[in-house]
Formats: sequence, C-alpha cells, structure tokens
Amino acid sequence: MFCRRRNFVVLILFCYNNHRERFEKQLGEVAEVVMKAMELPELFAVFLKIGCLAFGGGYTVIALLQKETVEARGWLDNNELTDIMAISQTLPGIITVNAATMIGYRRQGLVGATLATAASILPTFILILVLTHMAWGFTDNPLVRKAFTGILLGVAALILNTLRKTGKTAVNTYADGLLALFTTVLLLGTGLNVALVILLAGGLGWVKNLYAEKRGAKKHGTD
Amino acid sequence: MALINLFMVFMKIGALGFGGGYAMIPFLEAEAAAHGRVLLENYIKVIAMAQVVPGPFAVDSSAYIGFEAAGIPGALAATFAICLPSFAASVIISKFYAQFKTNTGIKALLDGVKPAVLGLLASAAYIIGVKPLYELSHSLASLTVLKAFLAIACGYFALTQKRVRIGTLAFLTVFALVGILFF
Repeated sequence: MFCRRRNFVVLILFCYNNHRERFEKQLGEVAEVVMKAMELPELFAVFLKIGCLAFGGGYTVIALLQKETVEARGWLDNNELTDIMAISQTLPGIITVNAATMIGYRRQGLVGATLATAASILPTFILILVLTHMAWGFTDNPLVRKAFTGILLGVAALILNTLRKTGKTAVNTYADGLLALFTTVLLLGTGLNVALVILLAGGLGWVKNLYAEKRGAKKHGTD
Repeated sequence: MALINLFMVFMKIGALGFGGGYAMIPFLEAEAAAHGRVLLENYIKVIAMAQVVPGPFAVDSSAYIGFEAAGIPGALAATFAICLPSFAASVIISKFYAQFKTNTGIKALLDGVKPAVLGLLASAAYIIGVKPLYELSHSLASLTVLKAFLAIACGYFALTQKRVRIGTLAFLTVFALVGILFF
C-alpha cells in the first residue's frame, strides 16, 4: 500500500519534471486569468466609491481618480490620466462617464468599461430618486422654497465661473468669440431648438477650423 | 412607445451634450418643458437638489425626468440612453487612440464646437438663475430680478478671487441663506 503510494508520487514527480516548463507556463496563465478577473470587483468598487464621493463636479472627479487609480493602484500614470481627462472633456456627454469608460476599457476591455461606467453613476441614480421621492412635500415649505431660489442663484454663479474657465481654452480667435456670441443670442433670444442651434454652431466651427487648417498647411508648404 | 421616445431623446442629448453637465441644462430644460409645465418647475428644483447629490449632474436629471415620464423603467431608459453615445465614443477612441490623436478632421470638429459650449453655458446660467424669477414678475426690471443679478454677480466675483478657494458646498450653503434672507 505504502509502496504503491510512493510509486505514484514518484510517477507524478517524474511527469512534472519532464513537462516542467509546460506545467509552469500553464499555471502562470491560469494565475494571470484569475488575477485579471479578480480585478473586476475592485474596478467596480473603486468607481462606486468615486461615484459616492464626487461632490461638486469635474475637478473633484479628477482629484479622486488621481488618488484611487494612479496613486493607490498604479492602473495608469499621471500623464495618461491627464490625456484621458482632456479627451473626456472634449467628447460630448458626461465627463465622468467618459473617463470611467476609458480607464475601465484600458484595464479590462469592454467588460471593464461597462462595469466602471455603471458603478460611477449608480450612487447618483439611486440617491436622486430617493431624495426627490422623500423630499418632495418638504419643498413646498416657503422657507425651503426661498433657500432653493438662493441655491439656484449660486449655481448660476458657478456656471458663469465654468463659462469663464471654458472661455480661456475655447476662444482663441475673433471668429471663435463671434461664434460663441452667435450661439448665445440664438439660444437666449429665439425659441429655436437647442439641438439645431448646436448642430449649426458646431458645424460652422468645424468648417472654420478645417479651412484654417488647410490655409495653415498651404502657408507651411510655400515656406 | 413612451419609453422608446424617451430613449431617443436622451440619446440625442448624450450625443450633442458637449461641455459636460451644466452645458446640458438647456437641452434638459427643453425636454422637461416638453413634458409639461409642472415637470419644468419641479425639474428646476431637482437642479438645486442635485447639488447635494454626489456624481454627474446629467444623471440626476435623466433619472428624474425619466422617472416622472415613465416610472423606474423610464429612469433606467433615460439614464442608459444619455450615457450610451459617449460610452461608445470613449470605447472607440480607446481602441484607435493613436489615429484619433493625429486626425485633423476630428480635432477641427471637437475644437470647433467649443465656442458653442459657451453659448450653452450662458443659456444655462439664465435658465437657472434669472428665468424662474423673471417668470414670477414678468419684467426684467423688477426688484427680485435685480436682486438676483446682484447676488449672481457677487457670487461670481467671490469665485474668481484667486486667493481664497471656496468649496462648492459651503458656497451653496451661503446662497441658501441669501435666498432665505433676501427673497
């Protein structure tokens, strides 16, 4: 009995020795897949945390991403994060979602992108529905109504501040300024459909930039 | 049918909403208005509430408007739809990052739409700050509207100061007090 068992062990050791490299390689591959799959819950948890803590818009999100993904986990470096944030801000749509999608995709492909995006918006989605459900009666109180009026004025000031910051990078030429003014007048002064106005102004901006690009290239060519 | 309609509308907002959360306000306000006056007034309140909820502001809006229009399925459909275009764009860009970076046509488009974002933001500030008060008094020269302009100007001035950094929550708490005391 004992002898047989020992023979068995020897046989296994023999096999292991003969195919050592292949075994170890396979073991390594399995470990890699497991490790990679283990990261999915972490990805979800990190973006859930960011979704819960992101008070007050874009700048908070950048700081949180920097802390959680760059410093704590080394998922990407500061340069990559800066790149991702720059693209996130130029794309249409929600900036946080863009960033979460890109970081999730970089780590775990499409599954990661989906998980990170879902996690980053889940807290907001639940909280606002609960809050509006619970607090609705309470908003008819005159004092609360006045506080809301005040808060909205504050938000208007915050938006103007965003406008100032955006203006620094968005307006480089007189044509840009004119385009901004044109959009403002159309949106405030006429009842035109917002989507139509943006398509029109964006189209004009696009054509203008393409033209400027072409002329710049030509100038460069003759130099 | 209502769900499909909701889905299409919010997907359009997601695809055209350049410039982030605040710049989407004019789109969302128009959408809320299309569902009736009560919803519009309530939506303005939701914008105030969204300031104390963490996370992207557009999600607050899509969840609320979607919920009012078609319950929980509506909230899910609207939120999913508003995220979908930028999700797809982000995935595509992650895949073809190198080509994207050097493509002049795309760069011209993304830079070209930036000035229009300023118009969206100006319109958003008007919708949030002045329009609700203007609709109460129907005159731009009324005392409330003037007070509102003054309050916004003071707030803006405070935010542009470089020496003091003001946290958003503290800033809005002060404005809530201003609202209670002066409006």
